Amino acid sequence: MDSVRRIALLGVLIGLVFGVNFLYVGLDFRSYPSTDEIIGDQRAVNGHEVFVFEEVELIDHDRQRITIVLEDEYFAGLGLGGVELETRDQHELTVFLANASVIGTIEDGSYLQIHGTLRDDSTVIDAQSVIVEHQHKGDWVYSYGISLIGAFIALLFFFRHWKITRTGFVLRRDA
Amino acid sequence: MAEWFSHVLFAYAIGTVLSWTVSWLTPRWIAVMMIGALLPDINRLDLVLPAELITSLVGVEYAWTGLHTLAGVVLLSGIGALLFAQPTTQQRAFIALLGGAVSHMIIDLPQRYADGHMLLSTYAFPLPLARPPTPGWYVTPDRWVAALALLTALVVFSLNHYFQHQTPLLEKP
Repeated sequence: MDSVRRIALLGVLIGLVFGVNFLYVGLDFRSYPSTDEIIGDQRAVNGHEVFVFEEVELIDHDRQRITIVLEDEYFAGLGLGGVELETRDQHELTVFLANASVIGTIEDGSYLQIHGTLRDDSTVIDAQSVIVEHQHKGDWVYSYGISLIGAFIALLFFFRHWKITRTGFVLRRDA
Repeated sequence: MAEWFSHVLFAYAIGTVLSWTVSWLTPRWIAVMMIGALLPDINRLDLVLPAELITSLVGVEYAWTGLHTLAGVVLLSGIGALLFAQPTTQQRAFIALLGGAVSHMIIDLPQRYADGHMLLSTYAFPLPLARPPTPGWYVTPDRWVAALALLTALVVFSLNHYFQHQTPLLEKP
């Protein structure tokens, strides 16, 4: 394949990648209202089953409930720190845990998966199941840290066998 | 999803075991497969190029999550394969990248989800598959997953080393 065709094909594939992402976001895979739908029309989704991923804002151990805040963000501009996002809208929810199966230990700032039912004009989730995905900051540090090690190993293996040239990746002579 | 350390080592183990029967799957292609195992998580581009930025530029809702799907990894494997210089290597690069990416999604499937179901319908996009129940084996920060991946990779490495260096009895003088 000559280089013009190759570049053209690369362009087409990159375009298709964006196309797939636009198409995918419009599809409804889980049959639960999205975060934006919950924030946007709380009455319409009242009584619906929900499945949300969210960070714990507040824990009330005595009453077995937690508070989470759903946020709808938008692109606010480019700043010194890169892309800046701002919160367009937010919605506070109380999650009742009394009847829920909880896997893991919930702490302030824990990142949870919550499955339950919305009630009281979607201000409350009666949780059926809660999974603590990242219990604390250390879990995030671990996830990202070990992922970087994984990426380093993959790149090390790859460049032991391949090298970059102006025309693309070619085998190393000594590989 | 599992973290990248586990994905890369499982891809190494799967590639090495496959190489016992697939003659062209040499270490150079296993290395490509290990890179392929990272492809579905290119959706992390969201951290540097947020979907909200693209949404505001084009006026249509956008998300990078479509990359963590069958359609997404087929396209990404195609892009990756075209980065190889020789046409003869592009075909194998595509297969190796796609193999690594698919291994990533298979390993992601039995994760724990609060609604009790796998994300098969999203990963299989555009294939219209349902969401079967998940065995719920792990969540991303579970340390044992990386330990198992490391152990598996070491066992496979040792077996591979043994197979490569043993001389068949009948050929011995």
